[in-house]
Amino acid sequence: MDFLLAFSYASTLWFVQLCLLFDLYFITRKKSEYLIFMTIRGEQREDVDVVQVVKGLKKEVWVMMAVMFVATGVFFLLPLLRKGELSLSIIYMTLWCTALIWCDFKIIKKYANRMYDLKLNKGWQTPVKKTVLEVDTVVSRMKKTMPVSEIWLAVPVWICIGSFVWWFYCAAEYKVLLISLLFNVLAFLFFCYMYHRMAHGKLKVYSEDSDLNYALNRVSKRAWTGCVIWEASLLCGFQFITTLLLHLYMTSVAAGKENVTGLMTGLIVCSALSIILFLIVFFVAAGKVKQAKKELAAAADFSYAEDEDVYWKNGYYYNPGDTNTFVENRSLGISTNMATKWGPATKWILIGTFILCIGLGIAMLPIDFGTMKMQVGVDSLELQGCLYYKETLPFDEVTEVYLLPERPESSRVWGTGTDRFAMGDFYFKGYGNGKAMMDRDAEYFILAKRQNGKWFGFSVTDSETMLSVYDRLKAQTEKEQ
Amino acid sequence: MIIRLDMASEVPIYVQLRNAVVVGIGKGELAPGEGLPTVRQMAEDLGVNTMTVNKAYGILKSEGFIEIDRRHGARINPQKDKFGVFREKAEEELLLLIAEATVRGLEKSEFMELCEKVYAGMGAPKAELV
Repeated sequence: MDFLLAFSYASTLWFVQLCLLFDLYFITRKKSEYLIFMTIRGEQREDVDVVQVVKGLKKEVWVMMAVMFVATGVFFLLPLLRKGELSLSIIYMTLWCTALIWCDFKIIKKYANRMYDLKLNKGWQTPVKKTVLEVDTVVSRMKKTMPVSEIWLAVPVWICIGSFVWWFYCAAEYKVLLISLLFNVLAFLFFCYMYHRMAHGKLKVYSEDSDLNYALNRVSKRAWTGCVIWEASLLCGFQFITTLLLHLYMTSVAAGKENVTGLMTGLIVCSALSIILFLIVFFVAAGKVKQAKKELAAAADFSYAEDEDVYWKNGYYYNPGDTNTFVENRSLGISTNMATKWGPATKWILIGTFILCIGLGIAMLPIDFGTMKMQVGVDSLELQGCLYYKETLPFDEVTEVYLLPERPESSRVWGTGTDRFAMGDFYFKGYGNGKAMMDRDAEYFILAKRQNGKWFGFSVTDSETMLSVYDRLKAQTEKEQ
Repeated sequence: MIIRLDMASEVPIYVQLRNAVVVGIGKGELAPGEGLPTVRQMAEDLGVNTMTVNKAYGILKSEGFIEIDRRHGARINPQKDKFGVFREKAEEELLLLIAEATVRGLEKSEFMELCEKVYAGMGAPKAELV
């Protein structure tokens, strides 16, 4: 494995670490009124025991981060292990991410519990009437005026429709691009659901003053529904642009264009830009909500009557009395109410993602460690590659055939290309487009032209079989002539 | 006006909701003509079933505390006890309440003082009643 590729894998994992460190910063920062998800205000923050708990959390998280940082370097960057193949890398990255997130969650949970107990012991806890439901009738009546209009969801809708129209008229031959477009639709549907839950979610009663309740609820609903609409538009837009660039790349390679570095750079920049903008919109919304709420509460000389810490004592929000699916996170952004049906769903989505990634890694093991098999029949030959790759070549379809002592220079249009195998749609330099089923360790390579003008390049490590197949194909072409 | 319902109470939710609205009107926190949230919105914001809210609104309407308009939803519309139906109901309930107060040892003066205090908290402008 190339050093740069190994470094890019390691960087991805370090980026995950960086995100968790940001989270640590947000749950322990001095400006916030929450410390490790618990409401700690004013002089309470200076208390020796509170400072000790925060220090303990930071220490444990940093030690864990250091261990995981070294583990990444050892796996990907040590020269001995640098030969690690893609499948192993995927399995390792999945296990690494799971371990990191799990440990981080456990440490935060432990210290959130500790902080909660400390508050109880010090008598700082304000009681929570868990059984009382509240509604401000004035605010409830004006709920419709709070969120950003759903008409703005038309923007991602039109992007999705436009992308399908484009595919139908311009890129229908590349069916694989449909996956990207369908992902767009799925993401849009998820954002629609989020918008619906946020716009219609339960209103909070902060004080006896209806004007203040209205202002605080409006700030939150407006910012988060606006954020969802922006995110949906950005994601759909960038996904469409990425699909366009991918199509351009595939058509360029298929046309034999050699210099496609610009397109590849465009693809990477586009993906990176979408992630950066996605995060910016999210942070701006979260910041706006926090700032506006702080200013409103200060202007109204109002302090929150109940701290609701009991619902956050495990480091996540669990409130069976709250029907809201999404709530404002005490660190940053939004969080899921684990007491709603989305609680178990979130857990299963995480477990499902883990199983999917590990499954993908295991499924890809044959790509790194498998072999290419060839079966020669009476009138055709069949090549069985790794995963689902399979190709049949009837002898009477062949019009031209070449035996090459070296692997033909080729570019991947769509398929799998590793250090060892080339499988799928490839462009063979000096020949043209076609299918490849090649083991790069082979001694001989055969390029056969079919009646439809497409090439088929194949090779297996068994040289004798390769030579006999070549003789058979050569005899067939001479007979045809 | 802020409505609070206790889920741990033995009193059914729809009765609590009906009572909260009546107290709100009595205290003047809900003025005649003021709109109430729609059944769906009230149910969403309280986190209860729409049928529960619907039932409470139905009772409030039949008792003459609100009117339900198809276009504007529910509005506060308290009506005077023209036929003395409430008077009869009040007399029955007071009988039970005073009997219990007597048994518990509450003096008449104390009871009357309590009534005065509660009455003083009611701010509904009577002139606006239909």
